[in-house]
Amino acid sequence: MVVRDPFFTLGKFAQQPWRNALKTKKQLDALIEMARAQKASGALKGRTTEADDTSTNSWGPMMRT
Amino acid sequence: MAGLAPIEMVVLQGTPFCNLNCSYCDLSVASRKRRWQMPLFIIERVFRSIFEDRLFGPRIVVVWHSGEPLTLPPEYYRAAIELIVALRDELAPGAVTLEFNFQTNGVLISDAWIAFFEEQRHHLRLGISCDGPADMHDAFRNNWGGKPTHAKVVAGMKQLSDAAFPFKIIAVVTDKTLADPDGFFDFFLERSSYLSGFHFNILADGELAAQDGLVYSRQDRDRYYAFYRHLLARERGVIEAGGAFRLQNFSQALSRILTKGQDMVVEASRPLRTINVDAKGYVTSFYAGLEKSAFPDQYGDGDGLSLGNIEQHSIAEMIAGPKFASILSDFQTSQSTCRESCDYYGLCSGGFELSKLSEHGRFNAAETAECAIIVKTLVDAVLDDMAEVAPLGKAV
Repeated sequence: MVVRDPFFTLGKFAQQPWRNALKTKKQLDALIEMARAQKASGALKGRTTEADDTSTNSWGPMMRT
Repeated sequence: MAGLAPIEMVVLQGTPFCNLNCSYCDLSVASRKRRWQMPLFIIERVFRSIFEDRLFGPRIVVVWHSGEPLTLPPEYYRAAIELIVALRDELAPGAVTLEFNFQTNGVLISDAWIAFFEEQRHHLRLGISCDGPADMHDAFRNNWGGKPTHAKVVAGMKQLSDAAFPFKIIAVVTDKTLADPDGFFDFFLERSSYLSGFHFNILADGELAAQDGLVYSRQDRDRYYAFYRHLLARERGVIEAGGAFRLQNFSQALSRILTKGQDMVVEASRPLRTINVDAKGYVTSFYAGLEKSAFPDQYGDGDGLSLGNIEQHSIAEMIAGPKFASILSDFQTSQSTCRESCDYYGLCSGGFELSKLSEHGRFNAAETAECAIIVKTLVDAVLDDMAEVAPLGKAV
């Protein structure tokens, strides 16, 4: 699978009608593998990771993200 | 109590009163007009219960919220903090670290508050609720007279930055935000040097969100996806320029993507992880900020998910009761349904049990609109963004 998808080329995605479907399990697994490979190779490009903090992210059951 | 997490956070409603009337607030109007004050003896009961029954982990974060905390005077909080620290020193010396947080709308920050924050700086953290530029913020966050509040919030943030006191931002995303993601991003980027964190929230697709500018459904995946991708691209621009501004929504999603074997769906609403105590002493758990008034008839006593009142029962007694067991069973049903049916389960932040109940009327249901927009679309955006920056044609 080639993960680079020209459909999502930066600057174009906002103008494109997005495929209104969830990713399949197979697609998710491939992308997760790609992400972990990026991390292993030090190619996260400065992106940071942080454990979920359910306390201050969301107050009450009515706010979630 | 085997299998229950130790208490990591205690949310205290010092007062339900608020000086603002934000249209999307999950507290009722009647509640926000009550000038109640949590008595110190309730705080003592809460922390005696936690310390004497050894319900704590290595660290407890005490948060004042669910009402505007700064409508009470600094002296109240000084006394409360001294009481909690004294109880810790008496009942659990050396066993637990305490941190004190305020989640505030920022309007009432003054020289007196700055002095108090300075005095407590070694164990105090602040969160400010601000939705971005004035047009985004003032569309929903006004005072009781309907007047805008943005200028006062900005002034409060400036006082904090002048005092070199960092704070975290929580911003609610609305249609106005989606219409101007650059305006939203740039507003906080300009202030990022004194932010300790930044997180945006999206209201659950329930009654509160049924207002112009807040409504969304599964059919809105396109516009949320575009919003997330735009912010990811802007964040990447900051990273490439050597800047430090990060959106915690993305950092946390990336953590879930990269970490094998974690189960945030269970962890997010694990009982006892968070304890909420309202101004009258009623206790809830499972979610930070869960109000006794939410789903009042769900368990047949009119008290919502409240486990009891700390004046009558210790927390250990509450979790030994049948109501706690019923709630826990319902939440486990919800979680197992997701685990069995959702491809995004291992990527989910969790915390959707009650929005599931709201949308489907039952716990043994799977996806909600919140899942689609807040979890799945966000994860899709983060993964696609990462694929975008992968070397061209790289096969995986």
